[in-house]
Amino acid sequence: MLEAKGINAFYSRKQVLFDTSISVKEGEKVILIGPNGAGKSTLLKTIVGLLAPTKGQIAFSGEDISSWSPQRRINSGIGYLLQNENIVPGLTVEENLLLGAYPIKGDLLKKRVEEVFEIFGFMKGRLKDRAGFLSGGERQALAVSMVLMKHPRLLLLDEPTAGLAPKAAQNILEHVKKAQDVIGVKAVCLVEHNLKLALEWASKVIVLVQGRVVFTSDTPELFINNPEELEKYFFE
Amino acid sequence: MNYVLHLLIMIGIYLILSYGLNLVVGFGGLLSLCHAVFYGIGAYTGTLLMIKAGLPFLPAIFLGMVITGLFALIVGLPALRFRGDSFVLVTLGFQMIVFTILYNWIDLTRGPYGIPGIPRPVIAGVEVTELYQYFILVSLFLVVIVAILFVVCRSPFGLALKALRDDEMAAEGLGKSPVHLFLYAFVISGMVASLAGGLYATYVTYIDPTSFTLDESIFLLAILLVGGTGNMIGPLVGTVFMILLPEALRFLGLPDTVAPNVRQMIYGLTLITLMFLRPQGIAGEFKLR
Repeated sequence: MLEAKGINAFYSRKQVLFDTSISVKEGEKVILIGPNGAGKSTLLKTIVGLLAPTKGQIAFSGEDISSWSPQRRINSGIGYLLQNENIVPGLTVEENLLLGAYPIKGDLLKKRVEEVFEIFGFMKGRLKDRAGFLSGGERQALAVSMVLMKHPRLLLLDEPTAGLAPKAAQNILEHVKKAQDVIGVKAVCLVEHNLKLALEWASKVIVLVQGRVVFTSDTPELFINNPEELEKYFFE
Repeated sequence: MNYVLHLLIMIGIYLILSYGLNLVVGFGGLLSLCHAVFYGIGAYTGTLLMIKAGLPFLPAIFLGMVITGLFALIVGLPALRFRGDSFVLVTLGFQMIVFTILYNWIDLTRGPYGIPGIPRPVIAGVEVTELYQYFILVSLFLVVIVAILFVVCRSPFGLALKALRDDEMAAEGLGKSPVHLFLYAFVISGMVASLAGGLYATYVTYIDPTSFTLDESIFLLAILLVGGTGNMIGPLVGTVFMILLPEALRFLGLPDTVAPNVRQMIYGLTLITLMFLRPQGIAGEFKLR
C-alpha cells in the first residue's frame, strides 16, 4: 500500500534520513519506534510531502507520488496527524471538523460527522464548544477526527497519545482501531513512545535509529513482555 | 450636518477598505503593505473607464475591481511563495512601484496634477450628488461587502485561512494549500479595496497619487492594529476610532500655532498607549506579529 524506498532527507544541511525504506501493507498496523531524533516524524513528514526528500521514491497504492504536493497526497487517501497540537483552538469543535473535511459539504459532510460521532461519542454534545476548552484527550480525539473526515485509506499518526494519561492514551488507540472498522481505514502507521501500549496494538514494528531502519518485525507481540529487546537497538 | 455626513461617508469607505484588508491580515495572518495601491488602482481604473471609455459608474467600478484583482494575482503569486518578512517586502516594493507609475505616467494619470472633475455616479438614471445620497450609496455597498465577507469568513475557506494563520504546517497536513488559499484572500481583498477606491474617486471628484501612498497603507494597517483583527468587529472599532479621533482632537481648543502638531502627538501617544494596553487591538482576537 505504501512503499518508501531509499529516502534521504535534510533539515537545512543536517541529514536526518539515510537511505531509509519502509513499507506498509493493507491491513497492517505499524508502529515506528526509536529514540528522540531518530527521524520518525521526519519520515512521516516526507511521506506526506511536507518535507522534500533529496533522494528516494514514495509509492502509494501502486502510484509514484514522489512529485505530488501534500494536498494531492492527502486527497488521494493519506491521512496525516502532525505531532503536537493539530486543532484550531479558537474555532468550535464543529468548525474544526468542517475544516478537516473541506471541501466536502452537503449530505456527505453530515454523514462523515455522524461517523465521527460513532467513533468518538462525546463529540456529539460538544459541537458548539471551543476546541481550546477540550481536555488533552478530547483534543487529540478531535485532531484524529479531523483527519478521518476525508476517509483516508492510510493513516499516518505522529504521537497521537503524547502528553496523555495512560487511560486516555489507550482510549485513543482503541478508537483508531474502531475507525478502521467504521471509516474503512486500510492501514495505520504510528509513531509512538509508549512502547508497551503500542506493541499491544500493532501488527508490525519498525525500529528507526539515526535515520536508518535497524530492525523490523511482524510479530510485535513477542516483545510486549520484554520491550528492552527492542530498546537495545536505541543505544547501539 | 454636512460635516457629520462627510465623516460617515469616509468611515463607510474606510470600513470597506479595512474589512477587505482584514481578510488578509486578520484571517490570513499576512502583513500587507500595498493595500493603498489596490485602493488607488480601483480609483484610477474606475475614473479612467468613466472618463476615457465613457462607461457608466457601475460597470466602470466592477471592471476596475476585476483589473485590480488581476494585479493582486500577479503580485500575490510570487509574494505568497515566500511568506513572512519576504511577503511584507514584496508588498512594500509593489506599493512603491505602482505609486511611482501613478506619479510619473503623466499621459494616463496626469501624475501630480491629478484628475479633476470626476463624474458623480449615476445609478438607474439618478445622479448621486447630495451628501445624503452618497451616504446611502456607500452604506449599500458596505452592507453588501460586509455580508459577503461575513459568509466568506465563516465558510470552510475562512476557517482554513484561520488554521493556516495559526499553524501553517498543521493545516497543510490536513490537505490545505497555503499558496492557493492566501492567494484567493489576497485577490478578494484587493478587489474590495478597488471598490472603495472607485467610491472615493467619485465622492471627492478629484484624485492624485498622494492619496495612495505608503502612509495610507500604513494607516489602513493601523486601523486593524487598533481595532483588532480576525473577526468582524475589530475593523469597525478601528475605523471609527482612527477616523474620529483626529476630528475629536480638533475640539480641544488648542492655540492655532501649535494645534496641528500637538494633535498629531496626542494621536501618536494614544496609539502607543493602546498598543501597550491591548496589543491585540480593542476588539481583536488575533495579535499581529
